[in-house]
Amino acid sequence: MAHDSKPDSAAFEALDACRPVRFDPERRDWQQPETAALAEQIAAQPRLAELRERMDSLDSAIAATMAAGSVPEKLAERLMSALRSAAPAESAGPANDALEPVSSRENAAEATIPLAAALVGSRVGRAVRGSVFRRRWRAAGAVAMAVATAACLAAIWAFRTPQPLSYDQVIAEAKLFDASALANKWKSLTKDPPDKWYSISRAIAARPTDWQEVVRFLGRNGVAYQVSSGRGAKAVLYIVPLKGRQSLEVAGQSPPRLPDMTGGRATAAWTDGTRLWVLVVRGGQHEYRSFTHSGVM
Amino acid sequence: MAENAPALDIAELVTEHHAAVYRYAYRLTGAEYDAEDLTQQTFLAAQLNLGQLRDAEHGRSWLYAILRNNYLKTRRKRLPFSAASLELDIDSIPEDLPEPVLGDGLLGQIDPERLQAALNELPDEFKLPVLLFYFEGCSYREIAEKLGTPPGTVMSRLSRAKGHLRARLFEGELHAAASLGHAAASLGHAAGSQGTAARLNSAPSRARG
Repeated sequence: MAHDSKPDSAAFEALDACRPVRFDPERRDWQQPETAALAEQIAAQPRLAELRERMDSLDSAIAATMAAGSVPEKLAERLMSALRSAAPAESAGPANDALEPVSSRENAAEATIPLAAALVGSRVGRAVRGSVFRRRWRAAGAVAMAVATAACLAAIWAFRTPQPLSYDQVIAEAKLFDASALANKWKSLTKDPPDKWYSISRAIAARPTDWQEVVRFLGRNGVAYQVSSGRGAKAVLYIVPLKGRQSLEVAGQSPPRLPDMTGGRATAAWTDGTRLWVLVVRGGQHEYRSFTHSGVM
Repeated sequence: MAENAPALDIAELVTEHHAAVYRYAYRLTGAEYDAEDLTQQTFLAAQLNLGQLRDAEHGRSWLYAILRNNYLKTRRKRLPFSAASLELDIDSIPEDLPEPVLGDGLLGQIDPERLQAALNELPDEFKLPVLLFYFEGCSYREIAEKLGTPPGTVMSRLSRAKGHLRARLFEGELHAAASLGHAAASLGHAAGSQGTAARLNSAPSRARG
């Protein structure tokens, strides 16, 4: 490329793809296969080098502008309040709500004692009124207790039977777990094998290399296998019991032909009715296919 | 199999990251109400899955991942579009965008409202890479991995989206600079300005992916 020639579209894409120095102080982006040629051009062309400097400054300015901006007042307090309400201990909520009828019953009791009102001023009247009040209070208390108990039972029932997780939610939670929760605690399959119940699905076309226990994967404890395909692709296969507090809407009995393709991973789930298998493949559909015998359990 | 205790308390996460998460949510949604809603959904999901977070240092990127996930779920619910309509959206991004022509006077004058308006115009397929780039400081390869998209496609989308932002941010200045460039060129001097005008009128990147 001559010194004054206009950079081509590929050069611009490479320029745009590389991060500003504030994010990439060691300029590692320029050492990638897609950008290596441009790095050489920049070294040879002052104009490109100048352009890169300007883009770097602009990108830094845009990044700084994006990261700035006002935050609503008391946002943290509102978030904490919402989190407290959503916490499992919220079963106190419905019980508190159930107290509401008590006060209205109190008012009702006062409003429905015309006889007592008519006898105001007399001893008998006061005695009768007191007796009526006590009966009404006892009745109101009993009703309130019954309402509160029913509300508590309803809250406990609702808490114990949460909405089932949809297939999309299963996949999304699996990806989240996969991105952050696997510890480097892989165990040997020969020296310390997992329980046979956690056997590899026959739909998997690759051999596991090692395994580890996983906790709270979709709210369940199970195992994860590290799996490699013959083509060098890597994946993790999670196996957890299907039975759990929150049911899962995974109807497929074999790996789906089209996995979920986000986050640099191809993710799919299937079940045999008692176990849930979730396969998270590093890569795309091509890599995914190298791990599965579609249609086979 | 013993259950591991959460690495962090949710209150600490809220205290430390709520502002950043809200700003990210605002950049994604473009509306304060939606941003607060998305921020709340993010922390609620974080609270439910707190046991997954083993390393406090990854708290922010973990929250960002939840936020992106929640955002995409909401978008899928709101806008059930077919692959065909997705392609149409992508193609609606003009390819003939000005190249970066940045006099020093333009730097440091990023109008936040213009920037947000420009972001709002981007379809998600372009907005997410741009936010991963500018907000999370991800490399194009990391973006490709997070979004499950080939690196070449990410480069192309980044370039087109960044070109769109530049065009919107400096609309007035670009037209003025273009006029100056043409005038300078017609007078036969100011080689630098001529180069500027040429760049302004050029048709750069074509998408690869």
